[in-house]
Amino acid sequence: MEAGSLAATGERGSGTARLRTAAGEHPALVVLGILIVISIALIFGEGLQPFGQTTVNGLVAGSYFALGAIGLTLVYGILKLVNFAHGDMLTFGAYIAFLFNVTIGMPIAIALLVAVATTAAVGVFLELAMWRPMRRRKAGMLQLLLMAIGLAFVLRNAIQFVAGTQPRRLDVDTTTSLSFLDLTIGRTQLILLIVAIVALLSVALMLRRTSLGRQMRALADNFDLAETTGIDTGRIVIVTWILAAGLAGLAGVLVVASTGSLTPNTGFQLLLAMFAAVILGGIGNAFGALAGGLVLGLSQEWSTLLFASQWKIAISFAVLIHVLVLRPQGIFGRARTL
Amino acid sequence: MTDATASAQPDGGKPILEIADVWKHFGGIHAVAGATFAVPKGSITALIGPNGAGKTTLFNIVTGFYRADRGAIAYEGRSIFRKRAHAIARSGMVRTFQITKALEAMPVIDNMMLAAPHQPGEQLPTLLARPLAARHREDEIHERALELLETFDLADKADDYAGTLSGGQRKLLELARALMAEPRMVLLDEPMAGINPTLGRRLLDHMHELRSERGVTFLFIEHDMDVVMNHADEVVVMAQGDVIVKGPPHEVREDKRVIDAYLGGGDGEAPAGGASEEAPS
Amino acid sequence: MSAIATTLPLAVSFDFLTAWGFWIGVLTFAAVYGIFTLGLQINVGYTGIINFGQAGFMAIGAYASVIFTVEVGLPMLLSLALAILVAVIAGLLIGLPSLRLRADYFAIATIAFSEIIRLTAQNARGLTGGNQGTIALELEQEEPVFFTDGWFEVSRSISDNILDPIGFTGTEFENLPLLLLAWILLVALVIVLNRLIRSPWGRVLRAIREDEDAARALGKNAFGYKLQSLSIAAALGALSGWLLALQLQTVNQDAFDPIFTFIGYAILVLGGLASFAGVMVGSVVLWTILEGMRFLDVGLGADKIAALRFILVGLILILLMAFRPQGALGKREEMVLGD
Repeated sequence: MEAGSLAATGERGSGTARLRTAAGEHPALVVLGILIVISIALIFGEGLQPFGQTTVNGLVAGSYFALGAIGLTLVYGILKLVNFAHGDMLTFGAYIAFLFNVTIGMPIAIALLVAVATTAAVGVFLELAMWRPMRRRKAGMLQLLLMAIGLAFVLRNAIQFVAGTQPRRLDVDTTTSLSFLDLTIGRTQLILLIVAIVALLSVALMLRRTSLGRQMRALADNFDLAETTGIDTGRIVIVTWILAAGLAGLAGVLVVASTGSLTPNTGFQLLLAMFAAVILGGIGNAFGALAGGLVLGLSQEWSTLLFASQWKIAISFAVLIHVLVLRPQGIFGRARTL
Repeated sequence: MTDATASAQPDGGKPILEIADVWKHFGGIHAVAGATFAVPKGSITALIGPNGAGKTTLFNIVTGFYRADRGAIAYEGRSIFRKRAHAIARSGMVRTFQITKALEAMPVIDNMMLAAPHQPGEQLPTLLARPLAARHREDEIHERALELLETFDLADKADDYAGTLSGGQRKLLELARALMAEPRMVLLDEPMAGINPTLGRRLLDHMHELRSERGVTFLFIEHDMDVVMNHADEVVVMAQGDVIVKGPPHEVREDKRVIDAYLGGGDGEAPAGGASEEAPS
Repeated sequence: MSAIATTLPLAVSFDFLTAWGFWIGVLTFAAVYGIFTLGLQINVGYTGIINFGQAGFMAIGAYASVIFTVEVGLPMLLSLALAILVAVIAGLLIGLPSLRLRADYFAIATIAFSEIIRLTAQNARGLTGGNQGTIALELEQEEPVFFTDGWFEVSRSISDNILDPIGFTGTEFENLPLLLLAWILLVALVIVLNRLIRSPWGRVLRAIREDEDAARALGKNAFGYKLQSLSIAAALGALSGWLLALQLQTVNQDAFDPIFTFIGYAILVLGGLASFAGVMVGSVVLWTILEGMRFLDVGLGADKIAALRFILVGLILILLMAFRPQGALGKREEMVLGD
């Protein structure tokens, strides 16, 4: 072989190329860096107190984005299903809480537990009635996608049929607030934030440390292979739905308690933000969903310092599109081979 | 590099495909690690090696389906490094796949006609502006497709959906389809896998015919050592992402490094020249 | 007319004047969303890309035509042509970065695109009229200019010269010309698309639908074809938007909620994947049911009836995908989007 006949077109490391590879290998640091830069810019531009307040708001919003996103990502990771009906599970949980808290008159804590349990039950019911039979029949992606969308329609409108369209509120204390360093947070919001953080950390720990978590991760990696190693996939899938739907119910209650308004569309309106969080974090990765949710919550609230609040939602889209264009696998995902 | 020039070049002259120091990793594992070899023009070259050696990955890289991390690849003297798959296919190098990609929801004849080059009807502007030329070319390739199907004994299946063909027939269809493009080089990924010996014979006969009558170069991945030993001019052995040996079949067979690679490589099968074994894929 | 009334379920009461008004309205919607869904059919049924952003292209078509007519003063057909061009450009802008993504990510990207358009329509009050709708733009002109002015001239002329003489006189047939226009366009497009799909170009699309890598191995630039498919869908979406604006006479962002994209999918699966003619059937059936349900006299409030309508759409999607994914007129062999 004559060396001259082959031009060495292989890439060597040029300065920017090496930087890009390094950035590609530590995406979490890149995102953190971007957040820090934005924070500094906002502090200087808008002032410390507004920045601090929106950060607090952002963490609250981020916590329910994260709760919703984890469920979405777990279901995708194990079942490869993009659950368009997930937002409506949030709505469902919120309405159950409303039913028990306002209509029946129980304290919010009980209503919350009932909401989580009921939503989890619905999740399991849907798995047994819809998703499992379709998996057995080797349904394709488009079929599942359209079924999820159909389900979303049915859930959302069934709720509307029963409960009507007028906005509802939960019977929670919305006036008491705590002040700290010139920042305020509603007492209820704070309690719910803590609940959310506890829930998130528990899930994270469960996935990392328990055998159940290991089995779930095995299924996410390779469903068919995991089946052959004796893991009871049916059971794990059910547990996944319990977790995903339960967390969705919890997130729904949190959303309504924080924003003070519940309509049949509440959950669906958050769906795109949850998708953005999931994709940002790396689809299938629970920790990524957590990080993605927080980043999204912060971004949305920080944006109110610069734009009118009606454009808040646009932030989710902007983040989503940037991630899809620059790094579709998200922060913690693995790049595709091609 | 000197090994390559020492090997037989049936056609004399420059190799049709040259691969130099190609690397490709997937998340920490190097699937291809510095592979280097050349394929002489007009030869029938076999690419062998234990499972996981990187053979199909290399195929995918050469044909543009994967992007190599670095290295150099030249086809007919021009670099095709990181060129896109469809462009490479158009320039005369076609491939088949390990799991046949016959388009099952389309009739056999459509499968064939798809593969023809230079179709004005495939581009919207020319389709709309010169419908007669498109029509004319359609008729041409329809005829040629039927002729090719004849030679592969598939003509009576022309209007059936490709999904109704047997596995072996689909392999033949894939080869016939590849030939519609009048390629100068064909890459076959495990052509013998899953087909009965008679069909296999026919495939090999076609291969030899195309090489001697039209000078088409063949590079194929195979596990069936009988086929490799009896039909290849040149054998390239890969293991763990790199090319470890290259040369004529009888030399390669005796080479200790090759035997080691197979025994150490994990599927425990040495390249014996006798029985045709079907390696687990 | 009474014959039509008796084919409908008994517990139906008509809120408006005659059955003709209902049917002209329903069938016009059917044609508008038929054209809308033809775009989806090319994408999903024939190229294998899952476009969830079609409502966004419809919005661009509607708003751009109105803006070009009302604010810029261009004649009706020219503003339609430009609106289609704008939509196609938008399609390229969203397609170029997103089509290389895998199918479900592409779907999400297109919804995001559609929502951005809707959000902009809602908030850019000066450009689109915001929540008040395009009527606000029309009234704000120095001398109120209506987008439908140009069309109404043509419409009246059709009514006077063709329809009146054969008996379709009176206000109830006022909208018949639009119905005819929409259906002529729909049928023409179905014929054209059927021919296109049988061409070599169509053959490449179908190959990409089934197995993109196989198509690339055969020398086809799959990405380019997918971009073309998306652009055609964008153009069809824009055309349907223009027609919708003519029919409703004023639009705001609510008309372009993603719900309508999914109504398009319901039409798609009703009529069958990979059948352009099926789109016509599916659209008529779906809109007859959807609009017909408005008149169910079972004592439920309007909100509840609205909810029932969409529950029905959801059930159609679920049941068809579960039990007959190829749809009413689709062929099982063509069901390749099993992934």
